[in-house]
Amino acid sequence: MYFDLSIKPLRWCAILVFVSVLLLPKAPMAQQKALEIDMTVLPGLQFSLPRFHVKPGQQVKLKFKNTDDMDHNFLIVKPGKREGVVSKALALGAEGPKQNYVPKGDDVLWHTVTLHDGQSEVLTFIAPKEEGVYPYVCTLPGHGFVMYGAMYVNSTGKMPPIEKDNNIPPNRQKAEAGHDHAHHQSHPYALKAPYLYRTYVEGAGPAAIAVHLPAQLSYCWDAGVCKLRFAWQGDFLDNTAIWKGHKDARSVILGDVFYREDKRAVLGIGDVAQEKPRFKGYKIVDGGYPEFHYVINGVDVFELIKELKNGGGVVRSFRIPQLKDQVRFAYTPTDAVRYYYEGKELSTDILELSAQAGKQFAVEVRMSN
Amino acid sequence: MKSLILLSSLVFSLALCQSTRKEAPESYIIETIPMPEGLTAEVAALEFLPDGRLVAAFMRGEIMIFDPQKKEWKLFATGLQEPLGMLVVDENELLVMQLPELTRIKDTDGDGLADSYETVYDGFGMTGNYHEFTYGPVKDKQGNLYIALNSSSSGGGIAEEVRGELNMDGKGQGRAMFSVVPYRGWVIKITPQGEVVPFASGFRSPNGLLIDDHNRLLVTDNQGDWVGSSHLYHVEEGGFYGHPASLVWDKNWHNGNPFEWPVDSLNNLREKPTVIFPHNVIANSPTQPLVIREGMHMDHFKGQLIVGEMNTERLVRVMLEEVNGVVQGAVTPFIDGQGLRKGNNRLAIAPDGSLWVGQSDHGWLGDRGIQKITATNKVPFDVKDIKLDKDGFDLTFTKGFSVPKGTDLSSWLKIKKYHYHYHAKYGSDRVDEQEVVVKGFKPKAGNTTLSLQLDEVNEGSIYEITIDTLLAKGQQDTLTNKIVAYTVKKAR
Repeated sequence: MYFDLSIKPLRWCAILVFVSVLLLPKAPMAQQKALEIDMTVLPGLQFSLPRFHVKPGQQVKLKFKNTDDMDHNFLIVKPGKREGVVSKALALGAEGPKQNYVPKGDDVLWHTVTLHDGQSEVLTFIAPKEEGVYPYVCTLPGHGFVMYGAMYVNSTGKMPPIEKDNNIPPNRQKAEAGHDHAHHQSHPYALKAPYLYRTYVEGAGPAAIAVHLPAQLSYCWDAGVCKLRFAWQGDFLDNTAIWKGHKDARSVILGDVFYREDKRAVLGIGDVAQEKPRFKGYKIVDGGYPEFHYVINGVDVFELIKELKNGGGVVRSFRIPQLKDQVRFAYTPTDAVRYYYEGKELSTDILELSAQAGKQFAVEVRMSN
Repeated sequence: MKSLILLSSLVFSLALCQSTRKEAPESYIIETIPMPEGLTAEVAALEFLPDGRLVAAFMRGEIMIFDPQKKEWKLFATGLQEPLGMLVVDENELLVMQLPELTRIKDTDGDGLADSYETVYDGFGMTGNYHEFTYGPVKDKQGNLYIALNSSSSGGGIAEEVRGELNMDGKGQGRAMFSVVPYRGWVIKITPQGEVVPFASGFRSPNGLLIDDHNRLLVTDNQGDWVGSSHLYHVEEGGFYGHPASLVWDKNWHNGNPFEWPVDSLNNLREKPTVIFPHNVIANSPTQPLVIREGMHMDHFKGQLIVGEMNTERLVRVMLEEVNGVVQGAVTPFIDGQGLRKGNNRLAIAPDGSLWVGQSDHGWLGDRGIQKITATNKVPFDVKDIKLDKDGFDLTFTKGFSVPKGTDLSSWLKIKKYHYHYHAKYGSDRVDEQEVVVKGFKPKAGNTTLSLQLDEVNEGSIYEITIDTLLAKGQQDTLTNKIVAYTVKKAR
């Protein structure tokens, strides 16, 4: 029984209650089949479940898996004793690790040891006969003030509305926790295309630059290899996961990719073997567009990508002021786009230009439909 | 909120006006700086511009400038990736250390917004791992820049596509931090001519660099695998500072996977910490160090270091000395609570001498925002300094002390000694912890100094001195901070 709990607490709470009821009909088999609960850790010192319900005297099998990069433990304590236990755990000081940060005394009902990333422990217990709200908490130093939840023990299955539940951390008292970013401002200013993020994106190297253009177009330019990697149409990025950091978070592309560059090298200058291009940075030019600067075989190249006025693609402009050789521009032909140079559609996958013509040129990438 | 701040600054200025006549009730005033709406104020870097404005970088890539007079925030740059370090060139130019590179950011047209982002150095590898944080730059007297590159975390993976050469020998088993692309876990030096020198290796998570008044490079490192408790290092060229992964990028390393090397050999190879921050006692995640300088109204601590701490509402103070050519010293709390929040990631000194603290959490313990600490004219009753002696320690205090009636020194001062394991395991218990008998207590210099005489002083031990109920002479103040931990690297 596992729910994707990062999403909608209200919904899964409802499901959990529902499933609990299913698992525990008013029948003697309730005594035989244990209620299974999977607890993990979300980024930002949060248990995956901010609360759950069990019936008095119910057999419970709770699997706590530490899915975080920090160490955690899991304690279930007597009603009202969370803060006291947390303070006592903190007072253990240097003794804490030896005791798994679990203070002595009978306020702690059940607990795991300190678990590292990826480790898990199962707590099997019979829920208290006495109805009440039994807090659970991680007592590693500092964690207990924010990393806790509530085990509701009662026969009715009732829990207060999650927005008003003071037994769970304030940031979990939301029906739509984790999905509120749409209504939340990402920055202290309004975002207006063009703008960019240095970020990790799937489908590019780690030194990626994602640029949002007007007309619902975006592209990813890779500073590691100095070339356009792909372009897409639609919304820009969902940075929710990457802004939390941790694990293998990536910016998520929100539109449809219409072009992906498969060519290893986009520009070839002269006849000598190509060195690895070096990324020199970018300037924000008129209109707020970034113009990338890189060096190929000792020659400075400037690359600017803008949207086509009709929104049907992008135009890639290159400046190579010191060009003394011919330049070859390579691209990846696909059915989804057509390439144009000076108004003419290109038929091969390469455009060769003389030193004169190559000093400054532009190619258009037009979406086919 | 605004009026509250006005009120508090008014109260504070009144306090200052009276300062010539009357001592302030507290030694430090902590104020919270209002942050712009819509900002996720995870402070990644914090500095002051020569004109007195504050410049702050945030984890989501913004750089903003705060005018303390007008109390106004203005945007300077956007789009950066976790810009965890910054060096101010002038009002229009910053060197910013972000995940993929060291970048020179300039406002060339004078409109207040950056328009030029030039790569200064990107010759290190990246695997797409979330923990590949980058720190610095700091600049020494010769104009060399130093940056530090975090090792990659076992909490994340290695992307299909990496930047730089891949060498899987830099990866150990289990929870080990790793270095499979060049210079993860290294400090890199960049000379004024642009020459790049891989400077020192062995760092796990070096979230704090400083060039101190003696032109020494000091770097903090965070507790974890191979770091039993967090460290401060005096870093010198060619040194190896303990975490094995990065050794694969040492040009003199020809021994394959360093994690497979005997621990004893690694232990012999490594430089030992300058100061150890005892875990759960002093700090669990130390951050940026800075030097207490003139004008901060803390001349009693001048030249010492303040170091941030992420996990508690604390800053710590480090007292260094040189013993037989070896830099070492002690650490004690500096501010503990008093309105300070957690997540104390970055520190900067304002032209008026106030200390500004940038806070972050980013999925770990911490807080967000900026606080300002101003020292008042009230000198705290505190341990001023500690020096190692042949057979013990000399403690000096900011004020003379008196011993409560009916007690003697031995009842309020205790010393424990212990050390930590050097091992692959995450963190370490205290090893060989024992009470140390203090043979003699000698108050000196009008009770401002106390010499503690021990049977012996052992190299490699931390001496944790706990002082309780010590009173300032003629006053009701008890000692502000009660724990001093001295790491004896070298005996006298």
